[in-house]
Amino acid sequence: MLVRETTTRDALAVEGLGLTIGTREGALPLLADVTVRVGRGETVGLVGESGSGKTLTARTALGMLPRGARATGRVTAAGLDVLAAGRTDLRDLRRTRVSMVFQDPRAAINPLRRVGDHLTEGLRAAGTPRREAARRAVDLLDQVGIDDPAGAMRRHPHQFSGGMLQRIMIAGALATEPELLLADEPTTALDVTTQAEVVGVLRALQRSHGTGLLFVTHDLDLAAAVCDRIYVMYAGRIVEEADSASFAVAPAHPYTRALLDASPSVHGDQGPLRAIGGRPRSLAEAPSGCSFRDRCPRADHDCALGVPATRPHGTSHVACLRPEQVKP
Amino acid sequence: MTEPVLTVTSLVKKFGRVTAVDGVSFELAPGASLGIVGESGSGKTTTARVLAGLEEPTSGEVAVAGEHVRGRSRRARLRRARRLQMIFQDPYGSFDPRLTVAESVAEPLRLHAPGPAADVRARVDALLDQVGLSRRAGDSRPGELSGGQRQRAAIARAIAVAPRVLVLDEAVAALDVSVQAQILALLDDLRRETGISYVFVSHDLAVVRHATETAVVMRHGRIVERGPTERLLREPAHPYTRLLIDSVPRPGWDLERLARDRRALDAL
Ligand SMILES: Nc1ncnc2c1ncn2[C@@H]1O[C@H](COP(=O)(O)OP(=O)(O)OP(=O)(O)O)[C@@H](O)[C@H]1O
Ligand SMILES: Nc1ncnc2c1ncn2[C@@H]1O[C@H](COP(=O)(O)OP(=O)(O)OP(=O)(O)O)[C@@H](O)[C@H]1O
Ligand code: SF4
Ligand SMILES: [Mg+2]
Ligand SMILES: [Mg+2]
Repeated sequence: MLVRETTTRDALAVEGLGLTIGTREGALPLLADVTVRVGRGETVGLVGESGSGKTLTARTALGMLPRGARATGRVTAAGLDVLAAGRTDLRDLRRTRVSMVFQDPRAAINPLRRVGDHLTEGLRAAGTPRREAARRAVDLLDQVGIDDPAGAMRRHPHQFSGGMLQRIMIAGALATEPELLLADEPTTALDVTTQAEVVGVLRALQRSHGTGLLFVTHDLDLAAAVCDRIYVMYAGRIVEEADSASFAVAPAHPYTRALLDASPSVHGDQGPLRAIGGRPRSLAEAPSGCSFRDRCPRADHDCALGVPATRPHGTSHVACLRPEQVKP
Repeated sequence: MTEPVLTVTSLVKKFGRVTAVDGVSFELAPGASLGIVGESGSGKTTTARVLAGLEEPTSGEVAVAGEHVRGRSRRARLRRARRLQMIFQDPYGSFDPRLTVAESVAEPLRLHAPGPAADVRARVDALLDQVGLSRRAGDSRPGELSGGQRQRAAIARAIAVAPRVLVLDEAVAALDVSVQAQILALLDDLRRETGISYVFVSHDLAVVRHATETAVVMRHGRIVERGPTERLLREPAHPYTRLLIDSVPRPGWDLERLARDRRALDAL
């Protein structure tokens, strides 16, 4: 069951988040009523196809809204009311209490700076003396499996492979022992063997620091293998929340079912893939009522009447009128 | 035994001191689909590019439909292109952004089988229909299409000249799963209907399982294991194949054991 400790505060609480952006044609909705929680030390997956709003959701936790966007609802990251916070508070939050790891490490690191400078930056900003910060950084590089960590501190990003550089980014993101780590497709650019190594490093560090992890991915198998709980996004909304044990065996939302049916697998018997018609949509392109109804095999008239409310079903929470019709 | 449609013999490709492909040999029967798997840098793309004539091999032979194909003269390239076509991960770069999709699909037809404009147009319509693209999509520029539609367009263009072999390099890797499943189904149908053969390059073992009957596993430019895809996945003989399979995420994933296996293999 999804009962949470209420005595300790969550690392991240996104409640009823809506996001719209002004364009020449008028206001364009990007996210609607998004609720996501990440407890301390918990690993939470955010899955969905492209354009569903995963990155937008993760970035609002750091107060990084697209230019011209308006947010409604409430976002609390490491105790800070992000949507109400000023620039100094947000800068402080990003430097020390909430970190982010991106898909492409090369785009996220300054190629001209040495790895050591990148790694000690947050610690120095938090007031750690230079020598102590360097010692901690070397230690972290060692923990993420970089050979000759002291030498690595003096090298530049281009001297590392993508997988090695992503480990360095993870080390940097966890250097200040943040309460929350946002990882946006951190292994999507890596091949399977490197992905397994990087995920291993990420999980080990996160566990030892008690960091809450929001793990954004479009890979359902990866989310199920890595996460405690999973949120499924479609067209700018959360359509299902499930614990990862029941996620693959008892999906509650027709979209989750469809995703699983369309995903090839190396494990188990090889069933035929069942493609869903159409393509994933953004919130602005989605039909009224249930966003999934133009692709849903279970859709009926009532699905057009309004956006289905989120309600409990089995061990999940689901925004669908007839989750009981979804076969396990 | 039917004559193989593609025979690759002792292929070697060096870039300076780097040996990207190191003695690769395989055969492909008509209507068959062969997977090439392996981690990043193992030489999959280089092998595919040599097959398609985009790179000259340092040594070794490639025969398509019994004919050895060599050289990069215009004539040689045309001869090869009629028998073997290649599809990339993001076909965007291979389309002329100023042409409509229908015009791009018509290009190889004009080049290889010139005929009256009306015939070309009819053939293009049939091809677009075959890959599930509407007429409207055909009249769009590549930039106006989704990734999945663009990949359909690339397939339509590649099969326009009825090649014997299609080489697909990570052709579904950039697509969302729901769209990926549509493209895999399309490739399946095409193969059944036309008897075309595939060389299916992918780092994704699950996709290869669905798209191929046999596969080769590459590591450091060499083939370390080959066989029926299902057998490779269920009973891998080479420790590297086993590592690849164990690296695929699943519940109860033992990441520490994987890291140990990896180190043991690197030490070999
Ligand atoms: N700055 C922006 N201005 C306008 N629209 C935007 C902006 N940023 C994102 N969007 C739109 O919002 C939607 C959600 O985008 P987001 O990047 O969060 O998707 P995602 O789930 O991370 O997808 P992917 O898997 O492709 O990374 C998309 O339709 C995108 O085009
Ligand atoms: N044009 C080139 N010049 C120099 N080296 C090259 C060139 N193309 C490939 N290589 C090298 O050849 C090796 C094999 O590369 P290749 O692209 O074939 O691998 P791959 O298996 O396709 O990897 P990926 O899964 O990352 O696509 C790599 O070491 C690569 O750096
Ligand atoms: S509400 Fe209706 S359309 Fe939406 S997912 Fe449920 S059954 Fe399908
Ligand atoms: Mg994203
Ligand atoms: Mg490649």
